[in-house]
Amino acid sequence: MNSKLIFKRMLHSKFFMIGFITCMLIVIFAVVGPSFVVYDAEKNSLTEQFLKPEWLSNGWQGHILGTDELGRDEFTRLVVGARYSLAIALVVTVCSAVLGTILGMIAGYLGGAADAIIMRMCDVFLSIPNLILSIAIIAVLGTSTTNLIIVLIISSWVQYCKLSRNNVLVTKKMEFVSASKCLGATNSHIIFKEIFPNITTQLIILVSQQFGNVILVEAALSFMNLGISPPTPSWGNMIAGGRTYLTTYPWLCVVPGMALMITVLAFNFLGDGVRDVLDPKRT
Amino acid sequence: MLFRFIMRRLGQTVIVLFCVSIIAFALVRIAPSSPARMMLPDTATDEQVAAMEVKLGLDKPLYVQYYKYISGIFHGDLGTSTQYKTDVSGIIANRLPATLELNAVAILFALVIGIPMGIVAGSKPGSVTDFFAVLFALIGQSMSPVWLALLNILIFSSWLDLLPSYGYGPLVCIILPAMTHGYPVAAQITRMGRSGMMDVLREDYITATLAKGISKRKVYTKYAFKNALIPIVTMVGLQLGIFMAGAVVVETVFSWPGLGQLNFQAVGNRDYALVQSTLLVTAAIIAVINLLVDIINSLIDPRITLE
Amino acid sequence: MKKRLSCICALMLALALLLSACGSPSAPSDSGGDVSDPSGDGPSKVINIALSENNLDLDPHNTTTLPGIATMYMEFDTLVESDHEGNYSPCLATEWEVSDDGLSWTFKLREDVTFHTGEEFDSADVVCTFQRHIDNPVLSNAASQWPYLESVEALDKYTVKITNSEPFGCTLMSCARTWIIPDEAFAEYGEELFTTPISCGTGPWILDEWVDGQYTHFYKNENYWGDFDSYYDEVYFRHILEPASAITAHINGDVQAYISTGGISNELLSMYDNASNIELVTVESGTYMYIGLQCGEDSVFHDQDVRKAFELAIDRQLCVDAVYGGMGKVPNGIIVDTCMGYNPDEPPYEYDPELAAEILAASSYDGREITLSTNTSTNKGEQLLLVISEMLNEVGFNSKVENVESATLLAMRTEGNYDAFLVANMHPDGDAYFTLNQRILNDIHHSDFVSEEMNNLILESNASTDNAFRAECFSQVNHLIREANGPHTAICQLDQIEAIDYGVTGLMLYSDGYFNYRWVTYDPSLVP
Repeated sequence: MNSKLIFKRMLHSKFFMIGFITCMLIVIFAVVGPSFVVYDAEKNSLTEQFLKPEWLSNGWQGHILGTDELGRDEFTRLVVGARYSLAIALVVTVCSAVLGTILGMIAGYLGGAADAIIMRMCDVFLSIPNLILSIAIIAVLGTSTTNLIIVLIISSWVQYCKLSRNNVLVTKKMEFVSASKCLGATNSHIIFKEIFPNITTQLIILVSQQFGNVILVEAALSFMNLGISPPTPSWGNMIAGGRTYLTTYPWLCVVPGMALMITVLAFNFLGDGVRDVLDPKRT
Repeated sequence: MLFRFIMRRLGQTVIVLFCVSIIAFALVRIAPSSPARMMLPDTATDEQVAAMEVKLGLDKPLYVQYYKYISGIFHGDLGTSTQYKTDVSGIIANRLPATLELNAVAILFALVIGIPMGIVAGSKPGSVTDFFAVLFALIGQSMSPVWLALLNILIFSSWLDLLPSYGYGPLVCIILPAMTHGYPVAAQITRMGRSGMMDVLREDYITATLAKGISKRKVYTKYAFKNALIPIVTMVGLQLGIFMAGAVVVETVFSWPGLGQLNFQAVGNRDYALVQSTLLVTAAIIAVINLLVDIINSLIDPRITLE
Repeated sequence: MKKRLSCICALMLALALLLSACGSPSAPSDSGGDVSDPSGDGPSKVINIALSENNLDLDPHNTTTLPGIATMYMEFDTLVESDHEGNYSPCLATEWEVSDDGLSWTFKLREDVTFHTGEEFDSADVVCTFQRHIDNPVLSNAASQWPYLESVEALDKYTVKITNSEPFGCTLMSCARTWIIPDEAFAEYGEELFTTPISCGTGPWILDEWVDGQYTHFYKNENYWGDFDSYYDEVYFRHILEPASAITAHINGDVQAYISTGGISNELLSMYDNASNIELVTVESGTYMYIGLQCGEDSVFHDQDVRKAFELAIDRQLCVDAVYGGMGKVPNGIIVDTCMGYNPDEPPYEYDPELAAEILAASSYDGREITLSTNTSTNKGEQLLLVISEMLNEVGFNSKVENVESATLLAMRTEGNYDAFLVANMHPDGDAYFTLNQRILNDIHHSDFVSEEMNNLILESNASTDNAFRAECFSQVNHLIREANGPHTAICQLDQIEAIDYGVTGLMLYSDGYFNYRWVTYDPSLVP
């Protein structure tokens, strides 16, 4: 596949274009937004609790999306929270993809005992409910952003591992691999230079689909009080915090939930788009 | 061959369960605090806690505790819960039906909604119906379960006063939790059904049948539909385990008396025996379901061999 | 192959249906609610009370959850009854006296009482109950209520003597929390008595069934010995953990009362705005939030000036207003106004950020980061600490907030591994005995704060059964804590709001945080 063809397909895929543009907007919003916000996301303003959303009636200076239980501006927290949520999702996705892929390739390529051990590890991790594992791990390690990332990586590497193993199993039997073996290539050369390029397509698709998922898991963990510690905002802990006020001040829960949904939706669109673009079967 | 396959899978399952038991055993013990402390009042002295630990057998070396736990399992004894002070097996037996019921109804909901939507969407890609089906599916996969649950309570229970937001027993109580729990799966099924249908319709034999003059309707319902179902069955089966385990949030929000809620509470109270056993039971259920799925798959599609 | 496939699909569907069918028990016919009683014009004879926690354990001497204690109040009786403000009235004991050395208590028992099991109540049952505490000191009730229990003996069929190894001023209070179990049934079943569905108390309600995670069901004891006849025939505790769900259920008439541990969150109260049949009951509770400081050698709070700055930096009234919607007040120490020994003349906590900044700047504080910890079960603990943390940082502290699981905070506290923690506390029956002994004298939370003067006062109060003297000691200890600016600093004392249908009466919500529903009944004259 040459880059021209891919580019052409990108332009033609509605999913890809919608997803890509929305994602770019969200990322820009998250990266640039915090430098433009008027309020402090973590500073309490106890005289301004539970203000209703003013939308744009007071321009960008007003409480566009209202304020929360400690009088902090909801819009500001949303913007700042976006940065944390996205940054965590990025780190987790990259790390778990790298970890999972390496383990998967080792399992698939070496086979035998290594394969058995790694695959049983996958089974074990699939057999313990994510949230319960996270609760226990956080109880051991304590709440902090680093620990949250570790927990999320632990609960998402398995997918990459299984995917890359299965792909390696298929690729391994192909002639060009046997050819380099005959030419005396080392194992690491074969794994990284010969096999890896052949599974990147599948990986990219999975990564783009998993990105949104990580954000959702982070939200679920925050709901159980296992997420980012206060007062730092993340969309997850904003939803969890707004839960108490659901029936009385619904925007505190609805707004971050909506933001989360739109973001994950955008990444799902992108994921589907990437699959359309990269998966030759789809043409 | 089936027998050998099953034996091998059982062997693997035993290994996995063994590892799960070790992890569960270790994790809950590394966590700060102990059941002895949690059982006694907040203000208990260190001596009282120590006496309680002796009573619970927690003063023994870890390998002795582990051995006692494992050998108990083989005698059908899952230990005694420190918060309930009764047999763990009884507590789990009380909670299991609720979890199974929630999951069964949620899956049923997902199948009933997802399959027709996927099939209809897939047979007319690009149409308005297709657009809405895809939108429905993507939204379903993009909502945080917590948020969806809260939103459902807000709309159906609080504003419209249509459905109860808690309770267990009367059938009407299960609607909201099952809907919340099943929606993401319905979304996934819709997408798989759609792409499955699209793939099948591209196959030569469908074109051939159509060319033979058999009505489009008949071809779709009789041939295409059934073949598009295979990946759905596989997916539902494979996800069932993970899906069951993921009910913690839904059970908590809707006060549903299932295993997930029990497990969360048990971790909070450092109820070692209960945490270990709920994790083990969940893992065992997941393993059995996966085994069944593999067997069913090989029965559906003879091309899939049991390797 | 097609046949096979449809077979399998049908099989799977059938399996799913089967699972859901066997999973769902028949719908209980106990929905109660506002269904009218067909025989009269009052509401249903079944009352549903929503509680915010699960029941975990029905052992009367071992349960620690509020629903568990409420269950015991329904099912069992105690020797004496407490009004939770320090006054005791006869229950299973008709009169009592204490020996001159303050060690032995003699109780005369009622003679006309039978247990739900049919067994007759006499001194053997009391002996059995207390002997269980002596034999099993790790029972939660033994550990928390009976630090000095030494022996119990039956003087005759209706007289018992309970002896402590030290004078114990809280004996009556502990008696009012020690539920009497039947000796014959206990001999027959042992500990199993409390895990089998046998109602074995003497109380006005008979425990029918407890379904884990769902409900606890009682029906009326028609042979109750006391002078009480409830309008209701049956009582259900509904364990609903999600507050919004519980309130929705209440408004829709599925439950007739919602009692939330720590009170219903003030932000949710507006949900009740249009429910004209529901009364919001305010309990002026003695529950107070306090911050415990780590005063060990290595801690910043070892220096009293730092503690003083800490105390001065907090605007307590603002905390009450901003976090709890003004529903509470600022106490003048940990001996709050529902407690024996409360001194209204003790000066209130001062708020003076300038002075605090000045003192802090001159103190030994090195700008180290201080972690303020609370747990997830403390009512709005995280919010309160966020507010406090900001106030502290304004005067020059460097503080951050951490909200951990209850079990984790418990471990941190018992190891002394914290800078400052925020929890709620209350004095059972308005008696500070337990708080002062455990948290100050024995320092179970390892604050490493030592004051001989305070400890001596507490020891003196322990040795006495004269409540006026003990109250004076408590008052002085409170004053010393205020003077030392530690190890405890009270933040606020909260009102508790609960929601109950008009006409439902007898739900006793005591100021020390205990709930007792045994006298629940219906009085149409209370409906406006």
